[in-house]
Amino acid sequence: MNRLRALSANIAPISLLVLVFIGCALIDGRILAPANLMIILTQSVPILILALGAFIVLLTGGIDLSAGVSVTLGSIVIASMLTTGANLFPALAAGLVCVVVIGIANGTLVTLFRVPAFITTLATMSCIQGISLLLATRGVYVINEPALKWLGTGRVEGIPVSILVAIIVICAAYVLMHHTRVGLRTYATGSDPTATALANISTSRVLMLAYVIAACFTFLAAVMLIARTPIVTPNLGGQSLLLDAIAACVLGGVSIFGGRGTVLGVVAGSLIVSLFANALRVIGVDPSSIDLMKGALVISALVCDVGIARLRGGVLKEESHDYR
Amino acid sequence: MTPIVSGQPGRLRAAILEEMRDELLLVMLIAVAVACFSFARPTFFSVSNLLSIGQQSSIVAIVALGMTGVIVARGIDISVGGTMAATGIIAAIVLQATGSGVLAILAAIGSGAAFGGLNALLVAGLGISPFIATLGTMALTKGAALSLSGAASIPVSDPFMLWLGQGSLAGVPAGFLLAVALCGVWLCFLRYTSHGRSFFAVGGNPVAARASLISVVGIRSLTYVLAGMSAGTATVIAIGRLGSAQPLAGNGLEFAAITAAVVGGASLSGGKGSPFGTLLGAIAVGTITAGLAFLQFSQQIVYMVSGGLILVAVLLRGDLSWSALVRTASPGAVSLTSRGDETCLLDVAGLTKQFSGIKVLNDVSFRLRGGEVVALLGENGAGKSTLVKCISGVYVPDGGRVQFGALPKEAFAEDGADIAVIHQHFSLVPDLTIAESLSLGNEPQSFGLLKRSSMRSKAKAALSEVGLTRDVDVPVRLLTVGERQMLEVAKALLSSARLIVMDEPTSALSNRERDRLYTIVRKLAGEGRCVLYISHKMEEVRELAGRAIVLRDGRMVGDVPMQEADDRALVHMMVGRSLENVFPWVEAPLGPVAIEVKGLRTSGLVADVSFSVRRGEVVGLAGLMGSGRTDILRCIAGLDPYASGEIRLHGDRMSTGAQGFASSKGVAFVPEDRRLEGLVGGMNVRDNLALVWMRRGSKFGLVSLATLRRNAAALIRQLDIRPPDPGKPAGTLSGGNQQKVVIGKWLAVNPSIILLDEPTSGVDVGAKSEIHSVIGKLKSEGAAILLVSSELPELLGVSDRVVVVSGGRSVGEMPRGTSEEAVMELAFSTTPKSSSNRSEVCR
Repeated sequence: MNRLRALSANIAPISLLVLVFIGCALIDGRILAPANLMIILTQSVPILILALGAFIVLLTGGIDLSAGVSVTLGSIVIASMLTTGANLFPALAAGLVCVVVIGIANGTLVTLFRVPAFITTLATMSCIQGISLLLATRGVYVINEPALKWLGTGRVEGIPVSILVAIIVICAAYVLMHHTRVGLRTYATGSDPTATALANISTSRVLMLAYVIAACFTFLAAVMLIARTPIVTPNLGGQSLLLDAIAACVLGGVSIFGGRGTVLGVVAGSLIVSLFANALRVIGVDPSSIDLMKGALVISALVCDVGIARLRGGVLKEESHDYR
Repeated sequence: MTPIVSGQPGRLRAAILEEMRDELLLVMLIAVAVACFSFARPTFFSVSNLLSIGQQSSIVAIVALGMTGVIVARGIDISVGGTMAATGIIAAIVLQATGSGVLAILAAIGSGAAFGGLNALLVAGLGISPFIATLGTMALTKGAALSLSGAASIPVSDPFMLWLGQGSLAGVPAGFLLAVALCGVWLCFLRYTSHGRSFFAVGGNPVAARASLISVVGIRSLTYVLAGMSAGTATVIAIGRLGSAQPLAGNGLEFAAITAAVVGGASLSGGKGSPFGTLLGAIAVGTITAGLAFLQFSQQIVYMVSGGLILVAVLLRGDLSWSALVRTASPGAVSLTSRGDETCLLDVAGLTKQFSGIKVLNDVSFRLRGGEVVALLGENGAGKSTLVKCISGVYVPDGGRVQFGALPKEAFAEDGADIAVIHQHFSLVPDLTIAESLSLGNEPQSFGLLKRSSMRSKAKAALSEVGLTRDVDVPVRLLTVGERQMLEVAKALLSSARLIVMDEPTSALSNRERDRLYTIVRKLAGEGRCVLYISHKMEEVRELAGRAIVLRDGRMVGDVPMQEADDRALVHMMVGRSLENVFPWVEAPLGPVAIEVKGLRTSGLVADVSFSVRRGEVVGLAGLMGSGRTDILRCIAGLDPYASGEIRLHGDRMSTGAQGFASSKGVAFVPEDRRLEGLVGGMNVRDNLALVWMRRGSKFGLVSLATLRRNAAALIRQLDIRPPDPGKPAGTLSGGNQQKVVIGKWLAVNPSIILLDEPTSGVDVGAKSEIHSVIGKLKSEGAAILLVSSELPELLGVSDRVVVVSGGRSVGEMPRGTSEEAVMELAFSTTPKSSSNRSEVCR
């Protein structure tokens, strides 16, 4: 019985995906046309990768608001280096360093100075926005790098490369979160930091690592984004991508109180977000209303999250967790 | 800290300076900023430019005022920017439809209140973390603004609408005047109304606020609605400035508003903040932003400066717990030298530990050898838990030494920790599976991957040893309390610890589980490990232990082999103390019955309790920890629900959990944990004393500050609270004075029924007898008093009658003058009937 309940919690995001899928099929057949499905999948790749990073931070009971603008910064660093004649790998390395430094800064403020995660990342978000604008002296960059282009639009045996990349990233995240010490300790820290510390685990180190790993995913998301859209502006990524990623996590059953959620759930959540946005567009909803719909989706997912928690009989964690 | 200055006016001035410190710093910051910018560009310092900065700041200021309310009540609202955009568009649409500027402004404020209501529902109603909930609302409101406007700005030309943003009075921009006026309104609201004052209590300590009859959900909801209305008001100025409603208005506004509030002195951990500070904060942020723009720094720099500003403000205010980091002791603080004699496992010598001047442990010395089970006995508060924490390295002792002796290493496979503690409070991570939590901290892995199969088999073996038949992939949170307790035991089994401490391990176990535990304890001893067994149950101690160490008042009073001491001798050792305490007892005329409890049962510890208390008498509830004493008090106060039975207050039946009814009948509850439930630590003594009074003593929700001060002064005199400084934060007082404040909080409303839960725990001797005389005085004034105390001499000395509770049942009643031994024997009694019932309740 208990097993069944636990199982149903894991399956919930996937069944939600199936439901949305069936709903789309009933509303408009065009949504499920193979060509459109492929578009949905490729569009979901950056959201998915960013969501996996956000998931790791949410697991610890924190949040990374700077992830969206980190994507912007990473993209701009890579693009500006490429357009000034640098090779691909130094450009990617520079981008990675920038984003990881942000992760380290976030981690340091959260662990060493105990600044609440959302204040930390809200502040770094503002700083990163400034740096991005400062760096983007030319405003718009057009990347013309064959390797990146292949990553974004190429195909191997008819399968888009970006989807292959996504599958590799999903597998890596799955192994990391479900089959290594780091993953287990991240879950433990988010679920109950005091009890975890009693097991002689440095929760500060776990938190720090979570922010750095999340930064690596953020970097990958940036790469996949500019691989698909070679025109890079300071408006790329940012708030709306972050919101998509957080929505994907919440829809994927990641608890906002930390400690609960699965990689597969996040994958399902990302696909729901992507499918939802695409379906709205296909049906012909005015583009200006799509944000409203997404907002409503996030709020309903939050309410469902609380509903599920109450159904499970789990007590919501106390107020002191508000800011972590 | 308020500097102590002789003479009233001097002290008053110092106190005011202290209270206004943040504001003065901000004024200086603004002045310095203006001076710097003027120095760089003389044209900066012109009246028109400064007024324009004021006007620019007013939008942020108005929103930040609403944000201050939310932050003071320990929340956050990041949807204000989106709300501003959406309400602006709604107002413009209403204006287009009706042509009435008044209606449009009302629509803006009304829709702001509605969006705030949504936040209130999500946060206060459903308990979603305020940050995530308002993030969702932000997405919704920003989306709504785009959707309603079709992503195009709507021009507004109604002069009434535009006046706030464009007009001026006597040369001062109208928007700025509005911000100043609203600041005044907020100041009055937070100062002179009971609702406003409740914001601070809810944010400072929500548990204590609830115990003081403040509706926490209601107050939190109010803060979000007010924040939404503030955004709706600010939108009118924004429309006026631009002459149109923008769908992308308010971008980054939430950030500016939070910055202004935090810079202005609001604490993100709740309970602190001032509207005036926030207004100054908004002006400071506005001045710096405008100044940087004036010096033609790019927008990018402005972004970065404001990002840095909030971090610096949060770090400088120092109200975050990061200083606790330095104080946390690492578990490695105990010296692990490997010398001493071969069989000695733990050597404790002259161990001393004190908290705020009270010696909790005083020169404790003993040795533990491998292969023995030692019972640690003592009354509640004798220092057992502190001793365990000193041994396990949670606390650093103030004196003496704790040393683990040498044992042949090969006896233990892994070189793990030397000590495993099975806590009364569980140390298992709820969201991990059984297998995961048993391996946590010592996970088997190969090539960086977890060996889940070996985790499972290890867990299975441990589970079968403790007799649990559970799938090892089940999350810990789904286990019953008893199962978790056994899992803790299993965890200790898996560790290589040489010393295993069990703190009341059977309190949540069924009889079958308990027998299994006995077998395990014997097995551990057989392996050459040592078990330190803490229990209140004599039969268990007899069954298992070979030796008993007895603590009393932090001193070691006995170290005896079990066969040499009978139960009576052990009990005597635990309770027998010098006759230094003389309790003031006064005769008082008995009045009618005030509390009548019949057959009370809860879903928790209380099984069947009946007793009554008359006016003019003190009834003591005696019993061991976990016998349900506290639960009985909480049921009568209406803080916890009860399952069956009956409670009558002054003859009227009270339904379950009716906190309001109880308080209307004059019930006052002084909780066991005064820091958690009694006081709002960051609030000053005066406001704490008024926590309950302010709602009853207020007319139309307005609180008279003069009466409040007079009451506080009277109570401080009456209870002799020291130092007699009503402005001192209550959390900085000593334990005894804190307790006096909690009692005073209720005395302010003249209670007729007073429930006291451990009123003198952690209180020094002087304050203790003062509290006792307050109890005596209240009794002679005709109050009915129900007292719970773990300190038997106190209970017997203060009470007129003693009701003994054991295993959730009232097992006997004794008149004044009864002996400690008689009460203890009754309290320790575990008749077979009650113990089997007990385990049923717990399972």
